[in-house]
Amino acid sequence: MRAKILIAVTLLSGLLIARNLHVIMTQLPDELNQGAVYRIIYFHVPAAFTAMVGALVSFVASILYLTRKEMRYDAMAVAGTEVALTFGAVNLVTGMLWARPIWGIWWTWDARLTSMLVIWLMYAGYLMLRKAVDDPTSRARNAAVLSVFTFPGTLFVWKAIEWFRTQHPGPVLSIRNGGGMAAGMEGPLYLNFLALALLSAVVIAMRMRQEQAQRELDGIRQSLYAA
Amino acid sequence: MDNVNLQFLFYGYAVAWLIVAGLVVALIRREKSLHDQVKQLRRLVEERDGAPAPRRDAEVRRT
Repeated sequence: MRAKILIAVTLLSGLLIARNLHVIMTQLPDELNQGAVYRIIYFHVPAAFTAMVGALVSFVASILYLTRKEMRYDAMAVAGTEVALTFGAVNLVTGMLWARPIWGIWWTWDARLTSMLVIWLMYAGYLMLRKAVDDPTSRARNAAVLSVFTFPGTLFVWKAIEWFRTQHPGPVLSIRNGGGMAAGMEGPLYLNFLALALLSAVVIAMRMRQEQAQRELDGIRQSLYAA
Repeated sequence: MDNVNLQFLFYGYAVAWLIVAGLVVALIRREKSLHDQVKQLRRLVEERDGAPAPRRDAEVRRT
């Protein structure tokens, strides 16, 4: 039953992305100043939103682990971090590929870009920390603490374009009182975010199941060698 | 200008999907690793007990 739900959600996500790609490529006009390349926004911004949701999942799960000491929350935290890392990478790289033709540069050390890169590196460090600690309880505890302290940086990334003058554009979307996109152009962006969020939910569910299976296998192996 | 913009648009979408594909591949590889560990443990149990290890219902149905 659970497998069927995951397959259904994955298919829904795929159909939604296919539908959105059709709308983005065939129905939306080119942007007045940027031409066709502005369409990168339809993955660049949803990827950022998805990465932040992954970071939030990791943050909440880490707090739950530290308070309740249940390993399933550790599994949820690592799954959320992997989603944050993957879609954070998508956001950074698509941003660079968009910046090159529009700004004439691949990168600049402004508040938004720099803080996003720093947060991404910290979440990469979270996964490296987990590889370095053998004991499951210590690994879960240390990783949870790192995740809890890293998450506030994500909020800084969100607000950076309001607090600082940046090369990165200021708020554009209507949800941030930007008003910078024409009517009809914002909808596919939120639908793509929904599609990526659904895909991320499936990934998190699968990773949690894999972590649980790994724990059970480790327990069985220990009993076998002890016997 | 338009050709250059279309090129970067293509690169952007290609990279986005490659990175997501990387996540999916990592998931599949981890799943395969788990299956290999189950096989190894089953072999260990058979060697220790001298009898075939009991199989899960799902595997029995597949055969």
